[in-house]
Amino acid sequence: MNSVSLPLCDRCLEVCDPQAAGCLAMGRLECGQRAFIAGYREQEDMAVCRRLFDLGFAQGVEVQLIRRAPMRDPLVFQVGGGEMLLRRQDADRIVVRVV
Amino acid sequence: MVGNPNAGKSTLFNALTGLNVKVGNYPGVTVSRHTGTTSLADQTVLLEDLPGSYSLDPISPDEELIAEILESGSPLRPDALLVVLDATSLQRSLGLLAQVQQLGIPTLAVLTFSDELARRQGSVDLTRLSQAVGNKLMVVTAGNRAQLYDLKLALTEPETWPAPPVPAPTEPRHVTGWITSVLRSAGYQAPAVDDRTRRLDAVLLHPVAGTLIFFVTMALFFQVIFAVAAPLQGAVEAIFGRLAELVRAHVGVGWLSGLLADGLIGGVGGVLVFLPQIALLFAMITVLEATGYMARVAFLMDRVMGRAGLEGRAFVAMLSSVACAVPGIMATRTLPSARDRLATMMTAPLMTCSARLPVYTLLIGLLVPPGARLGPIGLQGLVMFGLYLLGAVAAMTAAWVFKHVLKGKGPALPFYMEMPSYRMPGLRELGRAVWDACASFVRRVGGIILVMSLLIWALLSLPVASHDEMAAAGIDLDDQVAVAAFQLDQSAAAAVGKTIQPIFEPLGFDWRITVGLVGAMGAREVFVATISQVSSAENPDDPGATLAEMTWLSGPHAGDRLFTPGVVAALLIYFAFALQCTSTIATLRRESGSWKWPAIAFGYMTGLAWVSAWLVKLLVEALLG
Repeated sequence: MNSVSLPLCDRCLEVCDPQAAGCLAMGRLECGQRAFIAGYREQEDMAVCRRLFDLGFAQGVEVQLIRRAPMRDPLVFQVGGGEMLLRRQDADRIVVRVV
Repeated sequence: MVGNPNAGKSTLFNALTGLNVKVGNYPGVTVSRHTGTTSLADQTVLLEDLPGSYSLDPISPDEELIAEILESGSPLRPDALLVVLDATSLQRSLGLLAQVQQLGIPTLAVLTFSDELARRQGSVDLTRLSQAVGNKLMVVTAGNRAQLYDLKLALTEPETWPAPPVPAPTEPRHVTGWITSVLRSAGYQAPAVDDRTRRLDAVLLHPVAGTLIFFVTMALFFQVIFAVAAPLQGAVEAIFGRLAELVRAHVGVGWLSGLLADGLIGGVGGVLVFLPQIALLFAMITVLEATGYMARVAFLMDRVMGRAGLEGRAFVAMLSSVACAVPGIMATRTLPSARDRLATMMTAPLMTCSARLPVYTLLIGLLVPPGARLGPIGLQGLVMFGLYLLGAVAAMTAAWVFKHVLKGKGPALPFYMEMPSYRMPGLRELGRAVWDACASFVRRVGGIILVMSLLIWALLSLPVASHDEMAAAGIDLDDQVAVAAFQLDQSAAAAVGKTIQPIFEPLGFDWRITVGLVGAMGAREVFVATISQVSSAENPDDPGATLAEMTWLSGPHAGDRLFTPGVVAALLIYFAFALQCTSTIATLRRESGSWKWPAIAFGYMTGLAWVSAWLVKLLVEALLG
């Protein structure tokens, strides 16, 4: 850790419960379904969530599940003008609100 | 230079530096370091292409490296930074720029892919974008020399680059707001969904058609490195064989002609023989990467490779290793995570490479009679297939173990990658990738291979047996095979073979086999030649016939058959697992950046080989009574 990364590691993300009304873990979307990012599932180490945020999965952003691989994992999401491939377990760290 | 992966950073780096590039490793880690120079008038700028990254918030050891380099007081800290922004995913690129602004280093933003943005009906006002972020902003489209010249000019005077009055925020809520306001004031029109890419993906990623196309592509890929490279390699070998013959014919002194012909010319040939495979492999990998199909390979294979703890892209490196582990290990450069890269390169040599084929053919011939069948399938072919399968399973299992050993602290790293739009690869880019791979192989690995092959030549041919000694031993000097056999018997390699023989005693290997194993360190297929020399095979084209008759010369087994089914099976398994290839060791050294990893690989593979060979020998002997 140093002066470059320390303030970035201190960043705080909005925690959200996937069980809340109207909410869903992002990996459980249907193909073609659109949703808005509500927050991130509470976990001990938020480093992976901070990276997902830096990838463009920010709170309030619209995402769409484009396709699943033949064995249902990994997943491709449309986000911020591009397509991003995530594994199901990482996608499930994000909580979305279905439109 | 910093920027997202796929933002066109490497293309820009290559365009700026031309061929003035040095590729090395950062001290102590398996991350390649690219540096190069660019000159304008009398000014020279040293450029460093930092590994592609989405964030300065490190979640892996490789990314901590970037943070350390940029730390104030770091000896590697640059005087100025180029941040590459991809116009088609400006939102994400701006997040990185916001983090870079915190560093207090003069920063210049370069916007790439603005042509792609226009093609997909997007737009952005450059002057207002530059004002909104507070940095100097320049546009560079691939192949535009005027823009490149302007950028070079700007690079020589970083003191004139404006800095934003206040750096952008980094708290999630605030940075999202900052990005939104920057995009709004720059009138950013996001690109439309890329129709061409969507239509292609509908076919190429279709559960049935896509999987089929994938297998056909990979079969072709494999066929090219295996079949197309083979005649080229044959030609290289033939040329060096001719050269060696010329030397032997014209240099009278026996040991000198041996040193020149077998040691030096053989060694140089042994380096160059890899070039056709490396060139073809990197040409194909570049096409896969540049067109965007590599990301689709990762998508389709991720689940399978995930079983071994690896990611989808490791599949290409593993597949290449079936031709040869040397280009296979080099292909791990496409893996962004150092941990995955190490796990892949440490286990790729277990895949059945083409050098094992002649050895397998010889040994299977001894083990299974040619006509034997299991139902409609020939048993010889079945054993061969089993050995290929064994190699693949062993590699995947070992990769899984390595991933767990290397796991270290912290959460499991997430796997993510952008699915880029399909693009046509440029010819320059292709030529450059092939040139870089071949040049770095010859420069960095060639020397080690040359030294090792000289060493093995010396072991096999020194001390030189004199004619008097041969006459005293009753060797007919005109019988070349007998002379070669006598020379080998007197050589340092034989001494080594006899010394290490007790280690291999439980496997049933006598010293003639262990000499063969020493000789095979240069290249596995040499085993066939060495073993036929030791056994004074009258017919070098069919050493199998003589070998089957070979018996123990001395010791408690004297007179017993040497190549019993148990011993042959043990040898097969030994060859399947042992790291008996100095070129692979040299390549591991080069790609991992230290001797530690090749030493570990040699240790674990030899140990695995010994134990499995011993178990298989016991098993075969128990089965056959």
